[in-house]
Amino acid sequence: MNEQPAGESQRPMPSGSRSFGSELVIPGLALLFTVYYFVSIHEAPWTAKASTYFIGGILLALIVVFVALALKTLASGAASLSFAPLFAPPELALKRLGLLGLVGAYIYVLEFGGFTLSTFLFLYLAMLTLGGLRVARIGALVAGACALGGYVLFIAVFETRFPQGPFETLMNAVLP
Amino acid sequence: MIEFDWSTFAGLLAHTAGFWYVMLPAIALGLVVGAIPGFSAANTIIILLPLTLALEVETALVFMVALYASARMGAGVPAILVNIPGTAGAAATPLDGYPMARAGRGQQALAISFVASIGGGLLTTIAALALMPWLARVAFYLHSVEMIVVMLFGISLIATVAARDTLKGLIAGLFGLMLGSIGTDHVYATPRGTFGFLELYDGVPLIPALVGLFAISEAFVIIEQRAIVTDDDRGLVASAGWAQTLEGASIAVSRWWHITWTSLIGLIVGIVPGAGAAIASFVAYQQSRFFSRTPELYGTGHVEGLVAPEAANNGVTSGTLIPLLVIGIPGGATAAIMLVVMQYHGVNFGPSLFEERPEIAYGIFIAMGVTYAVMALTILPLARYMTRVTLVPTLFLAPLILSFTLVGAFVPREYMFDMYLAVAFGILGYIARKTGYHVAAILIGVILGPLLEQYFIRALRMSQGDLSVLFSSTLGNVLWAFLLLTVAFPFVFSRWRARQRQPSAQS
Repeated sequence: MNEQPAGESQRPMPSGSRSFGSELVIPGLALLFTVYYFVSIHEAPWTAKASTYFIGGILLALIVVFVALALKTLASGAASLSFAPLFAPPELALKRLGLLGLVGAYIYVLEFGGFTLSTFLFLYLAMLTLGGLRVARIGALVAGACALGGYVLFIAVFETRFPQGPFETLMNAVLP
Repeated sequence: MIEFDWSTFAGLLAHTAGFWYVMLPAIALGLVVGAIPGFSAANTIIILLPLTLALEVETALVFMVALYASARMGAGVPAILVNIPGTAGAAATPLDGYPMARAGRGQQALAISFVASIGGGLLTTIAALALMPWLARVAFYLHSVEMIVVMLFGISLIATVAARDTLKGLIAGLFGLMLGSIGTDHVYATPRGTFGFLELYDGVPLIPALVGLFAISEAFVIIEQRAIVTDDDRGLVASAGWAQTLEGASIAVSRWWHITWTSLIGLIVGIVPGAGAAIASFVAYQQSRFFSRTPELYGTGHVEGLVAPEAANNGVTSGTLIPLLVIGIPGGATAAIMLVVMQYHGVNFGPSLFEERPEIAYGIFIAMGVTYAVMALTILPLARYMTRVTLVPTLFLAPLILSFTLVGAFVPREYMFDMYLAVAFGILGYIARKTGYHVAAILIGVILGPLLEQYFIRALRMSQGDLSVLFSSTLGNVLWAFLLLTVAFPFVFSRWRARQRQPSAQS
C-alpha cells in the first residue's frame, strides 16, 4: 500500500510494526453497515437499491482487498493485530473516556438544565478532568465567561431555541 | 447575448461602495459564522431572514453577498489554527495550514490564506463578470452520467490527495457515500439504513457530520499536546509582531500566478451545481502538487499547499452564482437561499434578469469584489491576534471546541438527536484520525451520497435500467479515464519509485 504525506495530526505507529487491529476497525464498521443497509433494502423497489448496490459492491470489494493485504502483511510478521494506536498515549485513555462521558451527560442534561447552566457545568467538569484541581479557579472563570458569552451569542442574538433552564427562565423574567 | 457596459460598471462600483455600512457588519458576522464549524453563511442568512426580507432589495443583496464571501474566508481560520475547517470547502486547508500553525507560523499562514482568498475571490469576480455568457454554458454539457463520474472523481481525488494510503482513502470515501445514502429513497420514500430513527428519514444532516468528523474528533486528539503550537515554537507566536503578517502577505502576493490559476479551478468547479467547494479545493490542491517542483513538501507546511485550496475555495463563491443568475439554478445552498430572498423581493433570476434588472445581475459580482477589497483592509490586521488561539492550553480549548461545535450541530434542525449524531460521527472521526483514514474523504462522501444517487437513478431511468448508459457519453468516458488514472497513478508511481531505489540500494 503506498504512503503519501498528509497534514493529519496523528501520533506515529509503534516503530517497526503496523497495528492492523486498529486499522481494521473502519473497514469492519463499513462492512457491518453495508450489510445492514443491504438487508434494510432487501424488499425495496429497484430505485431504492440501484445506487447503493453499485457503491456498496465497490466498497465490499475494496474491503476484501484491504483485508487480503493485511493478512499477507500479518503472515510475514511485519504487523500485529494490536489496537494500541486507538488508545495511545495510554496515560490519556482514562481522560478521553471521562471526556466522552461528560459529552454524553452534557447533551442529556441540556434538556433539563438549559443551555447556559449545562454548558457551564460541562466546561468546568471537562477542564477539571483534563487539568486536575490546579485549574479549579481559572476553570470556573473561563467556564462561566464562555457559558454567558454563549448565552448572549446563541440565544440572545441568534435566538437559537435551546431547551430553557433555570438561567434562561430567570433572564426571560428579568430582561425586557 | 449579455452585454457588459463599462460606464454601467463604473456607476455600479461607486453605488455599491456606498453600502460600506452594510458590508462591515456582514463581514464581521460572516467571519465569525464561517469560523464556527456548524454555522455557515446559509444557516446565518436563514436565521436573519426577517432582516433580509425587510431590507431594500439592493441592501439585502449586498448584505448576503458580503456575508457569503467573508464566511468562505472565515472557514480557513480554524482550519489553520486548530485543524478544524469551518466548512467542507476548507477541508483541504489544514493539510498545509495546520503544520504551519504548529510550527509557530500561524500568523504567517493566516496572512497567506487571507491574501490568497482575497486575490482568488477578486480575480474570479472579474473573470465571472467578463466571461459569464460562456461560463454559464459549462453546466449545460454536464448531464447525469457526467455528474456521476465527476463525483466519483472527486472522491478518488480526495482519497489520493489527502489520505495517507490510497486504498484507505477510497474505503473512507465510499463508506461516506454509503452513510450519505441513509434515508428514504427519492421515488417511493422507502426508509433505508435509518436504524429506525425518524430523524434520519431525510438523510444524514450534514452539519452534525461535519462537526463530528472534524471538530469533535479533533478535540479528542489535541489533548495529547499542551497547546496547538509546539513548546519549541511558543516563543515565536508569543513575540510575533506585524512583521509576520506583512511577510505572509508578501509571500502570498509573490505567488500571484498560483493564486490566479487555482482560483480559476474554483470558478469552473463552482459553476457545476452540486460539485461544491470541497471538490474544488482538493482539485486545486492536487493540481498544485502535481505541477510543483517540490511535491514532497506538500503536507509539511508548504506555502503553495495553503494558497491553492484557499484561492479555489473563494473562486467557488463567484462560480456558484453564475448558474443562479444566468439560468436560475442555484449552485449551492447559500445561492438557493439568496434565490428565495430575491424572489420575495420580486426579482426573478434567469436570462431576463440582465435586461430587466442589470443593476442586480452585475451588482452581485461588483458587491462581491468590493467586499473582498474591504476585507483586505479590515481582516489582514486581525491575523496577529487570531493566532493567539494556538497558545491556549488544550485543557481549555478542547472543552470549548466540544461545547460550541455541539451547539453548531443543534442549530440547523434544533433536534437533540443531531447532537448525539455529531458525537457518533466524532467517535468515527477519532478512530479515522488515529488509524490513517482521512475524515475529509468520509465527509465528502456523506455530502455527495444523496446527489450521486439522484443522478444515478435519473441516468438509469432514462436508459430503462441499462447500466451501459454510464459509458454512453464521450465526455463521461474521458472523465472515467481521468478517474482510473487518479486511482491507478499512486500505485504505479510508488512501484516505479521502489524499483528506482532498489538499484541504488544494491550499489
